[in-house]
Amino acid sequence: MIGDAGGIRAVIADDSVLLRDGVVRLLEDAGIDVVAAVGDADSLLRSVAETSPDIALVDVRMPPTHTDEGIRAAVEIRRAHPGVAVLVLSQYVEERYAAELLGGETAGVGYLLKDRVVDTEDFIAAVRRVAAGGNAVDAEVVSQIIGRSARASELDRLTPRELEVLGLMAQGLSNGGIADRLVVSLGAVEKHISNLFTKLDLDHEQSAHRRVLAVLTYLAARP
Amino acid sequence: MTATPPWAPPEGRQFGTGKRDTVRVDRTDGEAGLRSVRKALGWWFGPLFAREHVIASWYLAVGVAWSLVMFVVTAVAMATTFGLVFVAVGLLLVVPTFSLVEAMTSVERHRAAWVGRVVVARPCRSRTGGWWRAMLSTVTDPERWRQAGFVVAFLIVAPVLFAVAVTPWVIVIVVFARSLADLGGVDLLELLLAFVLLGVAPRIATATAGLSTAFVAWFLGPDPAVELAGRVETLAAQRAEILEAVAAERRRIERNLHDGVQQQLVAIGIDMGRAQARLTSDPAAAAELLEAARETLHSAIGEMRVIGRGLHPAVLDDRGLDAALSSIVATSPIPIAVDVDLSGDLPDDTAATAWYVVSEATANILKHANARVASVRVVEDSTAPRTIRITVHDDGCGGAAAMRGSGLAGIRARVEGVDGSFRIDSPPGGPTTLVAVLPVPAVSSAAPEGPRS
Repeated sequence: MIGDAGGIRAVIADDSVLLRDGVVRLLEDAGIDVVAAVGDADSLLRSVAETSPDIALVDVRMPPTHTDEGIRAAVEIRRAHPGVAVLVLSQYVEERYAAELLGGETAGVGYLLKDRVVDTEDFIAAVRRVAAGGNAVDAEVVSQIIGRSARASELDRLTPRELEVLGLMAQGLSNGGIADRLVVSLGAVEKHISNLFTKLDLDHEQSAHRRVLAVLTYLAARP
Repeated sequence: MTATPPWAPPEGRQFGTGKRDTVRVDRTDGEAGLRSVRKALGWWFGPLFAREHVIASWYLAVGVAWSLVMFVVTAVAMATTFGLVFVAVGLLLVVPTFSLVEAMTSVERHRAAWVGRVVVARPCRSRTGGWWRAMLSTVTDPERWRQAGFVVAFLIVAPVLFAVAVTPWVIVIVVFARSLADLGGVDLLELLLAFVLLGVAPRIATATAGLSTAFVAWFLGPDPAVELAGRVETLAAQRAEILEAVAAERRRIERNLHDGVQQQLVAIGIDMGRAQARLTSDPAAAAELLEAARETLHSAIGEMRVIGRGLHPAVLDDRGLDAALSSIVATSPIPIAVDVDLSGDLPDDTAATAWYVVSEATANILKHANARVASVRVVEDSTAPRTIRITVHDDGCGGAAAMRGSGLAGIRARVEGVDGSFRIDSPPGGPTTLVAVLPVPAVSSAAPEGPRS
């Protein structure tokens, strides 16, 4: 699942033939093997199951309703095939599903606005990074979800320990899991988390949502 | 009323020939006086030469006869019906009797159009179910008894109004006849009075006919309060429809931008990025990619133009409705004939609505109808108040309906939003005919009524 530079296998789903062909050629130029290029969510799920790619690039709006088929498919891929990285490409930010997609295990998840494809080199780098288990979260996406732009300076306010806790949260670990990993008490982890919420200005948010937002800030600030 | 009598000379023309320059100075006062007398006489006797008062008198005279017919028929029918109620046959006659009354009063209603007044029917209760329920709902419907009441009241009102209308004529005729018969004893004052009355009589006839139609409208026309309530309801529904249509329109535009133009722009970006990567290593391939990018760019620009034109057609401002409609059908893959036959210019709003109707209707045909040929006609529908009629016809598969959120619903909302009417006839299998009638507001009075104030 973690392909080295030459051997990444990708599936791409986009109903715009023009754009799909462009991205396919772009990926092939970069030596990424496109094993399937499809136009709707059902075909995407089928081809992911058949070809077990390293990464699936998914357009949000696809037939039949042109609303959020793609992102629902992405969530489904994460659930059914945890080994397949997912990079969602969107014309705009679909907040509910974006939060769901980025709320759990964030290794190998990306959410970029479609415009970013135009910066071809950065885009290829993002594909490689996500396929390798990293992240690519658009700062625009974060700012639309959080309602303000994510700044690296916000993370500077965290202590090294809080940063470490946040990093483990981004890996999808529960509070108990983090406590085990850091060999500290659950209470200590909760205290760290509460402190970092305050430092990231997330006090006023609901608790479940707050966790996602903190992770998003983390991901966006450290690509 | 103010029509110039045929014998009045056109203004500015002078009697006498030649040498006007020299005589004009001497005559100025006299001629001005003469002209104003002529003008006053023209004003006073003008109505005598207009058609209105003849029609009005005729309308009133027929009204007397018709009131009598209505009364006799109604009286006989009612007497028979209620006389036979106890032998059950009468019960069967209730519905036909009241229907007869309705038909007769509706004739009187329609007669009001003779003198230029349109009286809409006051709605009666609808009759559904078996004959017993129909009979019950008929006999308990106050509107139907109101119609019967009209028959009785009109038997009195029609002759009275007719009498008022003819009295001046009778006086005039009697005086003239007496003067002719007995030339010696002509009472000059009486004769003068008769002449004066000649100007009054047509005015009274027209006014009386107006009274008569007002009476008919009050009795048989819709209740103003109910009418207003209905109007408010219609307006509220129309407003909701317009809002929905606007929202649908915005979604459509957003989708066109995101799914069309934005994708193309991104594709151009990809091509350019790939070209840049090859610039030194493989310039020929880079040139090819740039060419492809340029082609996509052309198509994106074209699409932007289509989207922009969908918002407001520039050609409408520049060259008028005919040219704008021609430009809609110019790009159509099937032949669409356009025939615009209007007697005058349209206000901007009306032209824009007409353009929208045709643009949406033809788009709908191309999308769904699978037609071989279509036509668009825009003609004058009526004058005073002026309306235009748009007819869009196609020989496609039919079955079109103005469902919520559809293009046709958008047309309906837009048309009804300007108080126009919209109807579509589209049996399964076709053909489909769409007719929209748009009122054309007078340019001067449009501003204060408009929503912009």
